[in-house]
Amino acid sequence: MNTQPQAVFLINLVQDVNILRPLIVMADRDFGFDVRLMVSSLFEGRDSSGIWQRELKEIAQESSARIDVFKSEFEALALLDGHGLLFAGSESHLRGHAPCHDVFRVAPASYLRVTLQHGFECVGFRHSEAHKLAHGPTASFAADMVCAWFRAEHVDALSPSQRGKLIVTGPSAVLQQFRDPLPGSGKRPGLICENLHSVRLSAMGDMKAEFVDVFSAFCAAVDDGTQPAVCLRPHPGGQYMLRNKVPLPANVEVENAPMYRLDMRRFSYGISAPSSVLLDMVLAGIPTAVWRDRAGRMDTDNYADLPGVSTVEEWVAFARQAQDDPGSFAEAREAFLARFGLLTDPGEVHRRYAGLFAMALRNAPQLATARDLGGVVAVVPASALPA
Amino acid sequence: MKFTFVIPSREFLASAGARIRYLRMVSLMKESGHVLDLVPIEEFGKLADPGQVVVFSKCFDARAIVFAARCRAENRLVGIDLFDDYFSQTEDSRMTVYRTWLTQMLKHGHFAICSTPRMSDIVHALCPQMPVHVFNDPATDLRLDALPALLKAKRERALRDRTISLGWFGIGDNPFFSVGLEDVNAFGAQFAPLTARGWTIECTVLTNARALDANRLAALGRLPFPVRVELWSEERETELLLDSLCCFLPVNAQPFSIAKSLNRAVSALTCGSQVVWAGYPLYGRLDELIYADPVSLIDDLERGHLRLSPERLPLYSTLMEKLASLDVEVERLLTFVAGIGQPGAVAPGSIVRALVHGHQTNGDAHKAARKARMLSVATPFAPSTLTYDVIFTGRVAGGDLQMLVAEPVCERMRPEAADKMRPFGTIQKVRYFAIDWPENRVMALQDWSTAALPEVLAAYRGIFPAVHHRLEKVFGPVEMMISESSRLPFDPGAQA
Repeated sequence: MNTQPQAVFLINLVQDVNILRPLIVMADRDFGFDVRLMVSSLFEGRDSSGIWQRELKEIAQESSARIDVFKSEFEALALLDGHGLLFAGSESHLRGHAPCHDVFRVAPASYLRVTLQHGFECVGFRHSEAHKLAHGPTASFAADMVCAWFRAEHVDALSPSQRGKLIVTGPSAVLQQFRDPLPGSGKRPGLICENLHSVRLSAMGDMKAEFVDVFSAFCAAVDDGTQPAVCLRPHPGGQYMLRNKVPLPANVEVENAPMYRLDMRRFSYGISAPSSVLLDMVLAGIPTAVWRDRAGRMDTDNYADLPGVSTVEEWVAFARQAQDDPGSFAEAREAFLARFGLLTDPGEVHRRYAGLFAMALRNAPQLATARDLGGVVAVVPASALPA
Repeated sequence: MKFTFVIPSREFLASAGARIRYLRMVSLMKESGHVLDLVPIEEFGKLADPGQVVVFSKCFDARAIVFAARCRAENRLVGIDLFDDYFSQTEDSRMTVYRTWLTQMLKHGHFAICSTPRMSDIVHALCPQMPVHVFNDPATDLRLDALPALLKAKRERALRDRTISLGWFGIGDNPFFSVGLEDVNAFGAQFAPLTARGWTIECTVLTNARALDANRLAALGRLPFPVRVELWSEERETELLLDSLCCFLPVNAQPFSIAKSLNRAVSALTCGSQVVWAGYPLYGRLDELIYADPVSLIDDLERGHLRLSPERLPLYSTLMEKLASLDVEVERLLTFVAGIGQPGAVAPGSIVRALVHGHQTNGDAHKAARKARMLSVATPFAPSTLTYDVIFTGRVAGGDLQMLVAEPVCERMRPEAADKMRPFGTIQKVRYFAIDWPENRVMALQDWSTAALPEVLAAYRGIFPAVHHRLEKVFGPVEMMISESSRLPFDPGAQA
């Protein structure tokens, strides 16, 4: 058995990579854990473009991490051969999160299991009305600890049985923000993000067509010959516009780079339906607007402080104002961040995650002995494990 | 005498069922001047001579029914080997497909072989006149020479380390029933008192990968002792049993579980492993050698009077001879088969055989039936992809059932029926004739494939007696066989 404490990261959805990456770096660079990336066999199928596999390999190389693929809980259990921390970016009792949830359920007691909030509105942390319709008012975790982005009183979808697990760490994404001055100036394109796969655009009625229509009309309206006038960013896991081959106007460029490679400051504004990407836009300090369906069926309450746009005229007016007077949106951004007590100071967020890593290191001997107390040890012949 | 045991597939030979039951039998039969072949059902049709006795094992589809009927017509003795109870759960609609299959098989079989008296009772209840033989699962090797030293070493090591090496092995799950690891998880807490008496338990589980899902693994993790889980293999099973002081064999009381054989207890005992059972007293016939309670095992271990010990090997030997001796079992089987005698000769051509296809069927059964000159008959619900000899369309209710006969089999019709045939049209490049065609009605094939399931289920029940009746009117006496592979509760009904 390996005696060095491990930091194991479960990767199942492609968006897990973005959430976990800063902690993978911390585990290796700041604390010297034996870093392991355990990737579910479903991940490869979800990564249709292959982007995320390359990213994972690069992250693993930079953090001296080992990558293992697991096909079943039994194989995962066989890989969990030590002690330390076990992180998941998306873990709850919901079906889509089952691979990580089930590994957590069978993990030996020698691992402290940590689930991270992975979105601003996030299952088990804070639900929109669409989440409530689709998944119910709460969700449960198999984790020992759950890390939230904002103050506990705003974590209102947490089941009472899970409250003792809650710690507030802030979003890991603030640890990978761009800080260097932005080179060059001149006209910058706008950023439109789509998450049409999300329950938010289907639970209250089908709003996908409305979004596509207003997006196309907007692109035509702002077509002044600039290339590109608009960048479209599909949700990394959903990729709705690409998967469904929605025709894109000529002045649109698709931007699919991982969030930590995309400096949002190079956009003059950002528009999205309710989605965590709005928080990324706000943190990048660009004018940010929330798309709302014209009938107002979609629940956008959590983003109430940000300006809303529905009709193409509103989109165009917002884009113009963003380009002419970007400073006029600063107040809205501040109000949005303040409302939930969102932790955005990278130093503070680092300090809080560091506390978690340090605690695990301090208690490593106890965790190691927990292996001998009971539980299941899985023995898988090397030949049965995926290469 | 030549025996052919028909098995579901080549892979089946690797399963515990085939391994324990048949492979050991093959060589012994050879020694006593008989031949026993194990043939996968997909190869059975090509066999030149299957021998005097053909036994079907776990081939749960219409191919077995067709081959059984064919073998019976060829004056061979037809047997059915039954060692899992998928049949007695009459209130469980998931098992309909198995009950339908067995009902068909019992019509063509001359005898049944069962692994336990309980299975034998089940067959007897369904078919009281059928001769049934209980063939106990035999042990490979009683290890009478090795056991004294092995038992002594195991006991000494346990006392020295104050550790119970506990083993569990087998299929950990079942698609229908709660078995295996769920029994371990349900009864495992019985070992908790041993820890309080200062004993350490080291448990190893050998099982199949499919059983190791999160629910079962998580439950194993909550047992009052650590569990090491490995994937089962025959070699690992033997190693584990030779190494373990004790084997834990909990059994729940559902019909499926209580029809199981003694083989797991026999395997454990013959490797010098004590047995602790829990739940249903499945292993009652071995009572004198095994434990119902882990605490008694510890008491005996500490006092030096283990139930399986060098001093008690004569008892062990007697019980194994009675319940698990390959020689004895093979001899009994041969005597049983000889006692049945040769089947009465079947007059050729005296009866028409028809394989009638229900909602889902087996294409190879259709081919085998036609090759054996049986009629392949479609009910209105049968898949339209096969070229049938007779097609029924319409619905039973209201008397709207239409019968279409393919041109090549028209010559087999009774003359009075042939008078009533009218051209219908071509289906799958074959010309069909309608019988009893009502002159003034325009009929077409009725498409049931898009009908709502409840409607199909409701219409299905009455179809087989109606089809049988019409077939006999047109072809004379018909022996009907039913092919139904659907997992849905398509029940042909008792009268079919």
